[in-house]
Amino acid sequence: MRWHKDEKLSNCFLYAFFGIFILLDSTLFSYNLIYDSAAFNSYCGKSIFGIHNDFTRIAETTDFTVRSLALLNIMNSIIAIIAAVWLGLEAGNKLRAEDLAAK
Amino acid sequence: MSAFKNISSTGSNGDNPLTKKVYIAVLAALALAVLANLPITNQFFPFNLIFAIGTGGRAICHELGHAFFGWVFGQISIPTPMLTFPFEREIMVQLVFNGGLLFFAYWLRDKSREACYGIIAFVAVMGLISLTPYYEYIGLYMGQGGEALMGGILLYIG
Repeated sequence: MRWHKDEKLSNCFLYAFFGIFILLDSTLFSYNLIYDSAAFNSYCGKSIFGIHNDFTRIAETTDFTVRSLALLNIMNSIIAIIAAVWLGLEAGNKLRAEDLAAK
Repeated sequence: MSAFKNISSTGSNGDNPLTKKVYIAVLAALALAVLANLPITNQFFPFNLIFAIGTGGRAICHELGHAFFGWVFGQISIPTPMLTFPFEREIMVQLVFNGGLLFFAYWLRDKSREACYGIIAFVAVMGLISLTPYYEYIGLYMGQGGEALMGGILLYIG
């Protein structure tokens, strides 16, 4: 799917959008579980075909609570963003250095 | 800080127009993702449509996370957009799947030495965890963890 005449730029936009969207959506979901009691009650009371949600199932059999797992998920998302930006910039710098050397 | 040292010299002063365009594309992606996620704006077209498509993509990443770790721990797992159906744990499935990962690491040995060692370490750690009862919790958690992983990989590719 091309959004721009430059295919590389178009792909860059799409990948970055989906990456940021997924991380942001996951973080907001976890933030709501921690701070919004309505969202928390809705999540913990929800069951599909009699199967509880992931965090609820873990919380039932371990010392973790749903909120601590949500906090862990926010931390995971932040680590994923920092790692992706860091590694992406390093890869970009390496490509530019190779490009300059070729010129 | 090595990752950030070349931004000012090649990105913002305009001597490399493609780099400048890449930063603009990433910033535009960030703005669109924020607008599509915020509850105030995602009620309106086109952000509600983008939110629905993005949430579908997120659900697929979530179920693929469960399924991948199910296979790593020897459960045949069938992902669907709503649920992942795990079957009983089989040692043969675990050996074949992890053997496949190790073969992939061997194939990568000349292309990326770091990725090769990373996969070998992953298989070793997961193999040890699979001997404990904690493997089930990791399989459950890696739905959300898979989202973070996929989000990070997509952002890195972008």
